Amino acid sequence: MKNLLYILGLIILFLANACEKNIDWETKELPVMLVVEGSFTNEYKKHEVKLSLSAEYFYNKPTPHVSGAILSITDGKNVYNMIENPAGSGSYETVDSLAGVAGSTYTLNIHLSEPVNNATDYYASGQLIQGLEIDSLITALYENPLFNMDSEMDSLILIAVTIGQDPEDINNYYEMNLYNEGELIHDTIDEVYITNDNEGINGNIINSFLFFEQFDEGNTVTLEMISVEKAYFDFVATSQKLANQSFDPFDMSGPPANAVGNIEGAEAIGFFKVGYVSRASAVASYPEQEKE
Amino acid sequence: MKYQLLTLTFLTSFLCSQVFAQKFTVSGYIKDNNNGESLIGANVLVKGTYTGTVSNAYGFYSLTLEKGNYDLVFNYTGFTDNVIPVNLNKDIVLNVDLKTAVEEIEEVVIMSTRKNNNIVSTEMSNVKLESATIKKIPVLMGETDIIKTLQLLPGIKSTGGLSAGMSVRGSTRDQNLLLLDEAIVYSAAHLGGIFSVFNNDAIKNVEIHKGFVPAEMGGRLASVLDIRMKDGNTKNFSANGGIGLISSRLTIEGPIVKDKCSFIVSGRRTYLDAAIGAAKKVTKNAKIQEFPIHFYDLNAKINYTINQNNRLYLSGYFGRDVFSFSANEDTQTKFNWGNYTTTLRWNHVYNNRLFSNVTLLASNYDYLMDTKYEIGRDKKEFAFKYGAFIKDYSAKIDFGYYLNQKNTIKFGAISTYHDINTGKVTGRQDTVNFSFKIPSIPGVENAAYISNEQKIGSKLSLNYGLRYSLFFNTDSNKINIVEDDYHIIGNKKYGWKNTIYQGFEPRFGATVVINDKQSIKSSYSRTYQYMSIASNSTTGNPLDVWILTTPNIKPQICDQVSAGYFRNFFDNAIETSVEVYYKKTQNQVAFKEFAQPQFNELIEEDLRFGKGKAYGLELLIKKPGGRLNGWISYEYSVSKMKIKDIQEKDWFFSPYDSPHDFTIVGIYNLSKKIDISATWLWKKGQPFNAPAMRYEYGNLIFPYYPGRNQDRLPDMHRLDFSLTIHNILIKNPKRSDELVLSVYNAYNYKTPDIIYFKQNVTDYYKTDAVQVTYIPFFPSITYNFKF
Repeated sequence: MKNLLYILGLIILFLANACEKNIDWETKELPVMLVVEGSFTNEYKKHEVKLSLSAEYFYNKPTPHVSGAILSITDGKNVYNMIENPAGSGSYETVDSLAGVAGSTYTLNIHLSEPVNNATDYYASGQLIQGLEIDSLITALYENPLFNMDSEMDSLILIAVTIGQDPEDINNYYEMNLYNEGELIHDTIDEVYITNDNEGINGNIINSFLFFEQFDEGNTVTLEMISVEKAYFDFVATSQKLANQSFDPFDMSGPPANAVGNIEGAEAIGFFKVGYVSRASAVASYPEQEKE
Repeated sequence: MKYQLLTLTFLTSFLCSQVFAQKFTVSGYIKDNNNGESLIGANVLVKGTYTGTVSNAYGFYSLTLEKGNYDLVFNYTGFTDNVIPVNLNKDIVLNVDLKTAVEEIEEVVIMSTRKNNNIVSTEMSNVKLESATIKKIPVLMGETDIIKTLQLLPGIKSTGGLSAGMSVRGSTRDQNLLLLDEAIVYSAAHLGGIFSVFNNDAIKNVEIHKGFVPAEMGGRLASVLDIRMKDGNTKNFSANGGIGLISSRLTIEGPIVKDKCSFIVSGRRTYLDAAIGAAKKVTKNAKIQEFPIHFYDLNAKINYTINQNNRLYLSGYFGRDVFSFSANEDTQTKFNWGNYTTTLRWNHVYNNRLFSNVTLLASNYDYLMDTKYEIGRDKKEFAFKYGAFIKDYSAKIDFGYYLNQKNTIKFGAISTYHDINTGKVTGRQDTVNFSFKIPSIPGVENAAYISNEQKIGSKLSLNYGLRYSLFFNTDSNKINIVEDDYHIIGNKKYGWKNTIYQGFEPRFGATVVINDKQSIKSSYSRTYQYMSIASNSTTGNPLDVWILTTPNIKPQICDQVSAGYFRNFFDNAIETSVEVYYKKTQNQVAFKEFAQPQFNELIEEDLRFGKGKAYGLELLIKKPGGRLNGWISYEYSVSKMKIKDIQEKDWFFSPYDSPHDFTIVGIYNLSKKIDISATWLWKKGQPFNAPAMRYEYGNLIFPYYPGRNQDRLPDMHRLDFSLTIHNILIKNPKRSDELVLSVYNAYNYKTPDIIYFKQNVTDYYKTDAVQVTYIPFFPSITYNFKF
């Protein structure tokens, strides 16, 4: 589909001889909203939540943090308090390290020192859903047959085969992160890999995934699979579409809309992601026959 | 049931009104004396009365009168009246030729009987355009364009920017039926909508019904655009054509057997691709950007008059856009799309009151993308083809029964098989072939209708009819099973009987003639539509696919009421009208946010449904004839939609809502040698989506939107101008030529066609609003010839 868009884009460029200019645009006024970016997983660690505010579209500098809020995460029985660290940063973490348990529902409670969008109390909850448990990882590098049109160097496809049971009878949605030599390759939400187990994973022990990335032979590859709720999967999918929405003369992407989060209390933006993490590492190598 | 009763009442009323006096019928064909083309909608009047009729789409008329002597006046815009005395003491056949009035423009048109057809006819909310008028209106790059001309009329808007897509009275762009010689044209756009597919040289008559749709037409909610091709000159061979900035045209027509059989072939091709390619080669300037796209059209028609009572027509259209592109020597992409239509018609006159037409139709829209890459160090080939189509096959029969001078009854039926392929990929990776097809669901659309045009006294005329339509899917494919939350849980064969949708579509129009200068008209139409475009694009796109009604997609239904006041001034020299309308749409098909309509097996998960409403007021002041002619139109309108289960919970403006729209079209015959024309338009900007806020998430800056279509593009206005100089090189009276100089966007207004928002390339935190203007000031030159 990207190819089609590319060609359509070319057509209009050829045709339109279009002239572009930057203009002043007066935006519609909306109340400032709270933006929550939080994550809670089954990993034993201090879990983080970031609070910020939305701003006028042409604000043209980093959006303000929200400091001095009181945050806690609860599973219904225990309450885990959070502190702002460092102070004034708008970043909060649980006071103690802890690990979430698959099957439990976790709720984030936020009490702001000053109201935002006429509310001081916000909350969000999510269920920690058991996901694929990776026992081991096998990698294989291939030349990329498609996307080397203009590049001298062959980019590579990584085929990662995980061995591990995906839970049956659960519809799983995954966020996947790749690390090269321990370093996260993509740290922006528009480049995160997402998949769901409709795509042939459900109940399988062996799954293979295709990644278009550059690895050198011998690098350590780490694959992280996070089982997330469908709502988060949709949130990432729409955020990616929003991030990639560009000038499209035939506006094939349709009217733009907002990514729907799970923050409640008043109209707010963002997500409190609850996920089940599993990861494994392997050394990147070409399959036997490709080495020749 | 209500409707049937209503119809029955009217039918009985006209049957009872018949008085048993001795009556005879005069009937025949009305033609252009010059080339033998039949004249559509020509008037036949008994001199000194309002009694009369109008020729049908094939130029046939029939008028039943009491025994006696009459002077019959035959007239048609741009032609000299022909008055023929008739002694009606038996049924007679009277074929009439009308002479064109071009040479005597100053004297004859002004002196001739003024036509007040717009006052007395039962039609409202419809516009007829002759190919000659369309030709005189200035256009982009000198390409005469029917749809662009229609967009200058009240109630008809472009779907955005330069698009040849139409929104009629607030409709979506798939709610308009485009007919070329009765065959459906699914995509009227060349070059992504900059030009429409209708080559004016091959066109005789254009009529659009935007409010009251007669019962013989249906299948779309908002309008019917009925375009008729020329039949071909039955008297002499002639050729005409033109050489323009981006394309050339050539039309050849003539008799095969004089006055019996004739043909017309008309072709057009753009050549900017070749010209720019050649310029690049000659100048060896690598900076010249190639233009690897062209389009062509071919219209052809042949007709054969077997005898007075039988006539055959075969016509076809074939047009394509071709795009071919290589990013480097290892890749090759070809992408082409287009329509073809074929129409075979048999006119038969059973007797001088009963006319029939049997039509067989085929029409097709398809696209195909063909891509090849050579990849890797060892140049392995990767190739794939991606295509989709819609193909229609129809059979149709229409009858016109001229019962008496007060009643004209029409009835008939049509059945269409829609074959659809919404996407198929085949390809090869090195030596491995692969293939994938989206399961498509064909369907059969049927309709039968009856209508009557009835005059009651000299003041009141009615046009009432009933259309019954029935649709079902064929059993060939499984249909998805969709739950209430739009989740698809499987598929099954429903059986065609379980996929039936049907409905009655009553149509009613009434005209009250106050006097020969003014009348009041009103109408009501209900229309059903069993298919829609599955696309996110508002302006139109070559990749659009059509989907049919299925058990998951209900037919769209529209009810429209209109009323109007029509008044002529200065002995019919100036025609004015005010019309108001209100319409309501049910089962409006739309998409959820971020839908993926193309190549989606689970398209039902993305579909959403709702309702629409539109209302408006249309003013038109028209001067149809004389040295200065043209029109001024103003329109106030509102078009809104409410779609269930999308983010916008409330009514929102349709993307085609443009509340104020003002147009002036002027054509002035400066001298025998020179015509000038100008159009100026001003309209409110269309609604679109602009972000209100930003937020940061996942190390990115995101836009936050206030709702659907809450913002509006700035107002747009534009002046186009053209100058036509006749007889440049050719002085022979039988032959002619002309030079057309035109300027699009004469004062170079930077029309805000698109506004989009993006992150600044250098400053991460900065966001910009960018305005795109498609075409600034654009002059062009065209040379036309005829001999």
